[in-house]
Amino acid sequence: MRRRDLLLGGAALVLLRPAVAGAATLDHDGNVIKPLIAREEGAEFAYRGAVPDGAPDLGKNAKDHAAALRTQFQALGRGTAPITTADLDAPTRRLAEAGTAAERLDAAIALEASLVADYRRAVEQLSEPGILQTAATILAGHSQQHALLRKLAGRNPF
Amino acid sequence: MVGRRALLLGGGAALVAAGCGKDEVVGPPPATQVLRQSLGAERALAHDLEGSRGLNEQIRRRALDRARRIASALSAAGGGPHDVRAPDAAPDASAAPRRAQAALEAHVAALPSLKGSDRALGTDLVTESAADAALLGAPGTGSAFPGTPA
Repeated sequence: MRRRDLLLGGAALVLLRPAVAGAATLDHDGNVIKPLIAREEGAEFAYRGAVPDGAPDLGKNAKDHAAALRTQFQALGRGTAPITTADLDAPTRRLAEAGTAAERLDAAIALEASLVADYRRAVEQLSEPGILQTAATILAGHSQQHALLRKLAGRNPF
Repeated sequence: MVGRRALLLGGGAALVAAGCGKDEVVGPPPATQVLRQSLGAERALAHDLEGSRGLNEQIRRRALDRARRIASALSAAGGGPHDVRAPDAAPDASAAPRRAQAALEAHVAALPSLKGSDRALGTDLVTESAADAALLGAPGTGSAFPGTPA
């Protein structure tokens, strides 16, 4: 079974489980993941042509993260417009504007650290199991990327 | 585009969610149950890295520290951490990447059962074990959703 199938099945369950998670809980979870969609869309933009040598395809991962979160956000009956370059947060803008390979690697490490911090806060706040586990696997992805990028830079990966 | 399979899955999920009579809600398993699984996974990882050096030794120490924190939470929740043991087999470093992946999956799966300070612990476990799994070259490293429960 592909991950997309799992996500869609999970999204169907989100819609059909009001007895498990009340409307207020789902609203709260939506509010938690909404800014993460924007962060992932920004990361996808910033990683275009800027993925450090030796790193996985971080732009594709960011795109997949945004799509997964957007699917769950829409399953809650909510929508959000794609971001524009004017909406980029500071760590993302730093990567987008990095001029050299060393600057890109430094900026990517800082961006991943900021994403790990944001997802940690989200995972501590989420309630709906499907949304929670999606956010947790994305947290795991950013934690892996952060460690691998630090190793790539010759730093302590922890 | 939503495929036929996804629609069928969604429909099947709807039927399951709608139930067949009783309004029973199946909640997540108890915290003690999932903490025991997380503890066993970390102890197995640390066991297979016994005798290692360098980065692998750092990862072994990190796994032991996580096991200590899980055992403490398990005790506080009324569980018995002492009967969760490492494997009897000799340490096998080649199994460590798979062990690390199993630990990450256990921690992700545990989260819905964990509340309050246990949720904070669970968040730490996911963050730390994911990094260790990546550095060991565990299956799924570099993918968008590592730790998705199998």
